[in-house]
Amino acid sequence: MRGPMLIAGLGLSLAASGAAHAATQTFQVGGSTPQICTVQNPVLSQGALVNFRSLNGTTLQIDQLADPKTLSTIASSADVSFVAVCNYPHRIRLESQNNGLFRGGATGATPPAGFADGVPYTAILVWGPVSNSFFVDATSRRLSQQVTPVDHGVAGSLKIHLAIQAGASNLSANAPLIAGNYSDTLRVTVEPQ
Amino acid sequence: MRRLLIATTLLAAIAGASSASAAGTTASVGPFPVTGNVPSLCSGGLVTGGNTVFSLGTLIDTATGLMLNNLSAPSKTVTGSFCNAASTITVAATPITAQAFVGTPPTGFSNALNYTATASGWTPTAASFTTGAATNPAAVQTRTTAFTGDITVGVSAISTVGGNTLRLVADPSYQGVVTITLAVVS
Repeated sequence: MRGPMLIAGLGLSLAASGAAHAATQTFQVGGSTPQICTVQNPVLSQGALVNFRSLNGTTLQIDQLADPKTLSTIASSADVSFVAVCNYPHRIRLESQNNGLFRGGATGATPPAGFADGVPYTAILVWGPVSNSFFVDATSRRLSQQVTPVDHGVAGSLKIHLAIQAGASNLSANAPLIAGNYSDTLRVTVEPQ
Repeated sequence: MRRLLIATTLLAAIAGASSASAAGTTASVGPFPVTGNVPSLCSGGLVTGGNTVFSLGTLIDTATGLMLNNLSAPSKTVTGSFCNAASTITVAATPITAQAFVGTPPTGFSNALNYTATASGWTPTAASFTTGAATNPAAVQTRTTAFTGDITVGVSAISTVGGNTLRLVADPSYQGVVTITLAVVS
């Protein structure tokens, strides 16, 4: 009798182990996004030119810098924008090569008494959370810059409003400008912090 | 040792019964049912090459910051899977999300991608799951018979969470997970 009882017990044990099973396999899906900053060529905002000619490439030319009668500076303004993106915390640098509009071809030469040879101007930068006014006073010909950190990525339009006040000069208000070609190079740079 | 003991006991019992019959009386022992059971189960098999990563590489056009519109990765094949009863195959997936970036993405940016994960070869209709979808009715498919065969797993239809006009925040590692489950129909 011991034998059959043992067999029956074994069969019961097998039935109890017949539970349903499942199997799982996992996969990862991955990639990366590099840090990038890009700035496209500038475009003029419609109807935003005062005493400026249209944009030629990246050159913005003032139509008439000095009043022909008084030789003092005529007010001018322009709005330019750049399509830009920076997908990580960065900083934006505005750099004036001359610290103002300066007469070319006479670097270091002192203008005759009573004449000015430099014109200050203001560049107002709007970029994401940043809205900065960058004034270059033209007191001396030198590199001038303003650097602003931006603590997150920004995508969209980088806008710059350029403004020259009437009568502005590096001598005194409404001082006559000495004859010459006046210029400055303004650089906009988005770069790692 | 236990098997040997059972066999010996059975032989002795049969011999005893035969001997009793020869003496003119009837005695019976048995029958002795021998039963067993095969449990319902599924086994997951192995991924060909052992590589379980769908590598999409660089996710963006570095000139624009927008997601590349041709992102893809080769499908994976799972071999050796079996279920010895009716079964279901289930696909689940999580968005491909920036791992190091913390917080809410800035305006104009996203930190994740949606996609569709598909498992085909097991059921007449492939099981598929789209991350970000309100519902995924095709995520679970049923097979009414036992089966063994390859399962092909793929990812497709990758898109930026929030819309493809959004840029992706910089991050060295974007990751999502696809899970394939074979289960016996209970």
